[in-house]
Amino acid sequence: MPAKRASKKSSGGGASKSARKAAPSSRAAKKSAGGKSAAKKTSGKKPGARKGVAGKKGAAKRTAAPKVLAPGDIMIVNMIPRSLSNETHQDSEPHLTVNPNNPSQIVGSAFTRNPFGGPQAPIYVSNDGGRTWSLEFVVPSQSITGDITVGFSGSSQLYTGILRLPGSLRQSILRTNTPSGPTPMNVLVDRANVDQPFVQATTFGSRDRVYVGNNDFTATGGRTATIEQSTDAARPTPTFTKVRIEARGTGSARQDGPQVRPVCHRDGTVYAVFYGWRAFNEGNNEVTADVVVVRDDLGGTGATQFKSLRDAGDGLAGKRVAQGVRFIWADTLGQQRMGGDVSIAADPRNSGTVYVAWGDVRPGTGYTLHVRRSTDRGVTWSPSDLRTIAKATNPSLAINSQGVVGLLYQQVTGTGAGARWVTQLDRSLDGVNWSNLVLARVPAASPLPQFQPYIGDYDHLVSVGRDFLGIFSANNTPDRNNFPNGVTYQRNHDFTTRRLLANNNTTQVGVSIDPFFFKVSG
Amino acid sequence: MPTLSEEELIRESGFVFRGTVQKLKAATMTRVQVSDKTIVVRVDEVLQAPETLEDLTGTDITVELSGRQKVKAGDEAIFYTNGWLFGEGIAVRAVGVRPVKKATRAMLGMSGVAPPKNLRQQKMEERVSSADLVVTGRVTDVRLPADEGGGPMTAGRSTKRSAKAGAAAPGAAKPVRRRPITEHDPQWREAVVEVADVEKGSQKKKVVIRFPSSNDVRWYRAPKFEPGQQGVFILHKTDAAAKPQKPRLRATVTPAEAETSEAYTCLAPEDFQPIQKSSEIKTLVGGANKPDEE
Repeated sequence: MPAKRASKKSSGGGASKSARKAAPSSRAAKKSAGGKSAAKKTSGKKPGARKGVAGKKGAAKRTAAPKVLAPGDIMIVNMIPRSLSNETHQDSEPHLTVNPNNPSQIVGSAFTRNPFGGPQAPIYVSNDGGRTWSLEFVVPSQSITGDITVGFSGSSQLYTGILRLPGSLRQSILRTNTPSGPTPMNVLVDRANVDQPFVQATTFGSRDRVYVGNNDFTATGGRTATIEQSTDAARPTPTFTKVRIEARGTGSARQDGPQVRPVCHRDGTVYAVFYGWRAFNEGNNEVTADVVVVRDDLGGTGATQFKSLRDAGDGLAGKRVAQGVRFIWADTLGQQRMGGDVSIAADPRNSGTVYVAWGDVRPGTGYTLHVRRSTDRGVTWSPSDLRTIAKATNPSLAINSQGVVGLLYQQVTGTGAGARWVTQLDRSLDGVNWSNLVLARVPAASPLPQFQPYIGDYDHLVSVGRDFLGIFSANNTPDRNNFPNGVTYQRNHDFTTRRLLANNNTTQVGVSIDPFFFKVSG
Repeated sequence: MPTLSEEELIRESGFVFRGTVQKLKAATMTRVQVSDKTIVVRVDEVLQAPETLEDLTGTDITVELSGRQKVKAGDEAIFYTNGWLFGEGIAVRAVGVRPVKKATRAMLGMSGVAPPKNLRQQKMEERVSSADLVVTGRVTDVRLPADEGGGPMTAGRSTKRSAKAGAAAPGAAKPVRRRPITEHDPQWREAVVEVADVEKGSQKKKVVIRFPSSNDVRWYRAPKFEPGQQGVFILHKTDAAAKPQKPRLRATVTPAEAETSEAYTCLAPEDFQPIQKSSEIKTLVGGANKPDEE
């Protein structure tokens, strides 16, 4: 079993022999990680490269670019159902999961309010691959959640991590095998003083494994970055244990950042990335942090958890991919409150290849996203950025079955009334040559925020086979110019007059923030 | 399950309408699994609803009956419901179904009034009913709470009780307990209210109200106060039992702790009403809840 072998041999911090074998690109990348020549070598060696890149009809030519997309390869859907055409709520901070047993079944989430104000908050459900969506009220939280993420396991169980209302920083971990209801989701965990639960789920053997990254303020010593995990989550009453993944002191910050993002690989490996906060300046709200990647080769089932990867610098668990990064807590970008960004993805063909993205403030460019890669299970990383994007947030990484990495992000361009939130998907086979796809280019100055976060502290990207599926929130004006690759609306609208229409299909409805689903066929 | 009164049905329901049963064992949406409990009902008049659903008159929707509710095609009834599914159409779950002739209060009291107004009224009634104190008054000051260290997202960093919200007071005497740094920080403030009239609860000349000044998704709907604001304050005491018992990060104070047992809070949108509503609220409080003499 690859995970076990890798675990045994790499527990001291070095890349295991087996891991190197499993990752044909690792040597090339080590020599000049992120370099063009290494990338070319790498792409040439990848077994799926020709098929994936050359296109359906086999115009086989080796290239370091992902498939050239045709118009029919891109689908973007406004997810608000027609029967909610009157709504003007700020449906920000979306998340998405696809049922691996039935890719037509997709669940999305956002800060969407139950219009009836009842005891259940909604999720978005599609049973036709994302073409149409309905809103189902199955999340036990008063009308809305304070945070929500979703994850299907391989046994078709939907797991959800929420901040539950009423309450403040009240985390609930939920489960259902019928997202369409009518029964509310089962509550597996319900406890206080936890922030930003971020769910990832998988099935290993016959057992569901669920990993919830969160910032747990009940942790002692200010080391709050936590993975709350169950290695048999489908049981009637599963046990979740808290694994503290911060090995270092948090200095004057006395805590880590709220973003703790796990990712599961089918060979059992689990990675997570987080900001290890090192200082907090109370005078100007400046955070100083390390971007830390932890790994568990046994999916959290061993004697110790998330200690498979150690930093050669200090010998502690967790590789510091970047040290001393800085940003201003609660700063603003395009009406959006900022608080940092991290994302991580592992190559489904080889868990040794992993990409990380994070945000920080750089002189001259302000808040900036960075992307780097490791091809040796996180031991070494590309010394410089593979991708650097100024004035952008909400990076979300995924890698498809062909090894193409996708990077979803939202960037502010222009200034004043001309400012735009541009939601983009960049794709690359080698991490060096990137193709860009604009999903939405919408006004950044309108509508005014109803609350924060304006578009959300995250969006989300997943891969299903060769395809990339994702979700983002944006201004919902039905203007084709805002969606250069097309869009469909379920809610009533008029593209000619660029107006949203009410349930009666006549009365104009104000512009608001809506969730958009997209699928880019690989 | 005991039969709910009409008032209870109204309170338990987000969407109340008068409708006519069109079909049994049917649904208006393919997403709904048809069963003995699912029926199609034409909405004849919306009585209580949020703004997003007030214009459904004439629409066929799916209703899932509960328990022993029985209807037959052609029946006209009042449906007390909550949301189940929104898609191409709407499906709701019935909390209760009453024949129109028996639903006198609903018909007389709610008919002809804008449905969202009825819903707001119902929510305000709930808040008034559960309130510990209802006063009419004016905000004279807004300040940081005494036990509020002025966390990093708060405007001030002083422990001084007189510190005004938004005004940093450098040189605070000693480090204070700090709340966790989180985007969901309520940023508690205290509004000092000069009381003109007590509608419910003990007589007072002044009351201090804790409110979250944050515009985070968790707190944005709570009323925000500024000096000079006048109106009716519908106040609740914090449940001290809600305090966390487990060990936690040193040097922090939780929102539950920030809500001391001495403080009244204003958390729901209905908890502050304009002064023009005072006579309506007096009526809601009613004779049974006259202010206590202190």
